[in-house]
Amino acid sequence: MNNLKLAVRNLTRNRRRSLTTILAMVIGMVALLLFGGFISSIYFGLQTGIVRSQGHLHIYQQGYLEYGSSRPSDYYIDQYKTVIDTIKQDDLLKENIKVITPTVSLAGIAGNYAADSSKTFFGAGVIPSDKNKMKLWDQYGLKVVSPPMVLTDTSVGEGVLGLGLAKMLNLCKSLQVPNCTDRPVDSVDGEVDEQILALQALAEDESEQSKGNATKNGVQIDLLASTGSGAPNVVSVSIIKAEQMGNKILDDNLVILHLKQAQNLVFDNEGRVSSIIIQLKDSEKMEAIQQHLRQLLNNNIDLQQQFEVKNFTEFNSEFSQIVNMFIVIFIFIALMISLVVLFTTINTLTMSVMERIPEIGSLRAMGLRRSAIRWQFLLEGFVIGITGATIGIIIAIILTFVFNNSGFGWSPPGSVESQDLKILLFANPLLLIGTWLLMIIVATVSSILPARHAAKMNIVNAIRNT
Amino acid sequence: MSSNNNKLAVLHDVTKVYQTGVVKVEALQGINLTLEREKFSFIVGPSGSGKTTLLNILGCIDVPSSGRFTLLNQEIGGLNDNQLADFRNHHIGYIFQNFNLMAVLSAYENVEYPLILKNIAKKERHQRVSEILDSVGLSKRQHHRPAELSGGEQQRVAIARALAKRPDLILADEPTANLDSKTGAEIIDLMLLMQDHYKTSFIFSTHDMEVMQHANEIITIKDGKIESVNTTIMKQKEGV
Ligand SMILES: Nc1ncnc2c1ncn2[C@@H]1O[C@H](COP(=O)(O)OP(=O)(O)O)[C@@H](O)[C@H]1O
Ligand SMILES: [Mg+2]
Repeated sequence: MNNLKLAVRNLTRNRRRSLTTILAMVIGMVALLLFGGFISSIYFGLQTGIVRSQGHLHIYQQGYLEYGSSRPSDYYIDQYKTVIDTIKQDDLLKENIKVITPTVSLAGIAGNYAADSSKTFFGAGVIPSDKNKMKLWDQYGLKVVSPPMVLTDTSVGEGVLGLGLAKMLNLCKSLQVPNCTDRPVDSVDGEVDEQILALQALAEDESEQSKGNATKNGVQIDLLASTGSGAPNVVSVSIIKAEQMGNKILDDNLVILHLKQAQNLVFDNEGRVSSIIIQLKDSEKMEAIQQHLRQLLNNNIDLQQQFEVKNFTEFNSEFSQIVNMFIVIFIFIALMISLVVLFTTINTLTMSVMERIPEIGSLRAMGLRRSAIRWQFLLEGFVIGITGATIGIIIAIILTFVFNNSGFGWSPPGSVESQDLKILLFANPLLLIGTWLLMIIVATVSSILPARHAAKMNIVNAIRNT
Repeated sequence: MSSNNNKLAVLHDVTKVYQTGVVKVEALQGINLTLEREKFSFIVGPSGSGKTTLLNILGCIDVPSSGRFTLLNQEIGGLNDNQLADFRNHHIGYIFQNFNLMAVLSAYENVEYPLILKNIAKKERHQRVSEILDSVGLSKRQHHRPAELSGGEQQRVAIARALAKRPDLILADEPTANLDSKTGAEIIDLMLLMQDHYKTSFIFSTHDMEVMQHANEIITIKDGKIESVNTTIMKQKEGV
């Protein structure tokens, strides 16, 4: 008959009371775990979405993030191929990088002059095959499919734009955008803005020039941006599709085109890019690799630039904000549940002490030290805790299994693709272990006061108390 | 020195005062008493005379308000709480009026419990518990919990529990008060038998004058004072 067995038996003495206490704990545990699993799902879903579209790390010329967006043509990585080669030659990086791809960011005016429409835009010049490779990243095994890009490496001259932008440029009909009608085109009469006319001339000029190699697919629009010298530059892009881009800002502004074309438009130089995107195999190593990359690039005399390396939590503040918000809610709920469990267990154990006053007195008379009595009740709190916590985990696992197989769908914040809503209970081992430990600790802490009360009891009065 | 070693307990001017609010109760008023080892002593007195108070002091679960108390050559006043607990663990067994068995333990486990406290190995525990349960006549009921036993059976378990650890002294505070007189008499007979067998010192309190015919020693107490100490009955009994 060891103390543990004794504790278990004493808890079965008043079954209903012990079960009610354990039930309260189980309900709290399950709520906490399911919510935690849901947060895990948001965390990993969001991260997977971001890593697939934007990678883990971005390399820019020093100052790009602060000033670059106003003057994209002044902040660039010169000889990007040399930079990529340097990275690829590093053993640590070579091992950890899944995709490394250059990109050009640009902004300007997009015009569909045929319909007399123009709109400011921002754009990205990319290598489609690299982007497609990035969309396969699935470190956390979410098995969500990101459809590949409609652009291919050989289709230089083609591009895609956001649904909202398509609407504004009067491209609904030509791109067959659902739920969208083109606004009627007024016949060009009266005063036409001189500037627009000038641009149109420039654009038509450009179109003439590129006619030879331009594909005949899609609808032609013209993108105007300023080059490094300040002179306006124009390229024609055949838009082959209007897509949903994830949020309204992107939908209304984004144009994706080929890297080469973007380089020509912004830099007039095929050695330059705005940034280099790196996607890692393992998110856990992101900080270490970021550090390593900084050292490598900024201590290399062959590269005559200073670089900054940012990770996705830095260039995508939304991620941290959403995650932190959920963590705060989680902590709040955990606190509430802990308090409920704390008071329920204190109440149960206090009643248990009261019922056993003569027994405590006789144990002390038999020669038990105060500390032994204290331990006995602490042990009972611990047993309640470990029972409740373990049953809680088992029930949470069962409910998760049921839920995950019932096929609820949702789109995590900031993501386009709808995915099955899964509760990821096991994705973060800390969730299970942490909640389990929390409940055990709370229940054990609850027993401190009743245990002290039992231990401090005066033996003579305790025995008399019958 | 050798005569000193034979002494179970020596009380010198022991008093116990209970102060409840303004009311002051002198439960013991200067007890002078010397008890020998291996005797069966009765403390007899009417209700409220101070029997329980005296037994509590003898059992080291209460301390005198003044006076000196030596048990088994140990000055009890000098011990702290843990030392007192350890002393009780090694030397003293208790039998209570209300049995006070552990409700969640079987008869066997209740008897075994003090042996675990004394760190006695499992094999020896089993041997001792079985033997003692046999001698109190409860072998067949050993797997029952207290709630399933009659009052007399529970008190037998309590006797076995007190005896199992082979203490120097067993205190029984009115152990028959909650039993009918026939069962009470059986319990006293059992205790006398056990005392004779294990040579443990027994101190037994009662307000029932009838039960004291088998005692080695009768201490009569009234209003917190010793009225008489009578050892003749023991001699009568031995003479029989
Ligand atoms: N804890 C206590 N507080 C106050 N008075 C007490 C307490 N315990 C005993 N007494 C008083 O001390 C006296 C002796 O009590 P007790 O030793 O229990 O007598 P007995 O066991 O012979 O009936 C009684 O008057 C009783 O009321
Ligand atoms: Mg009494």
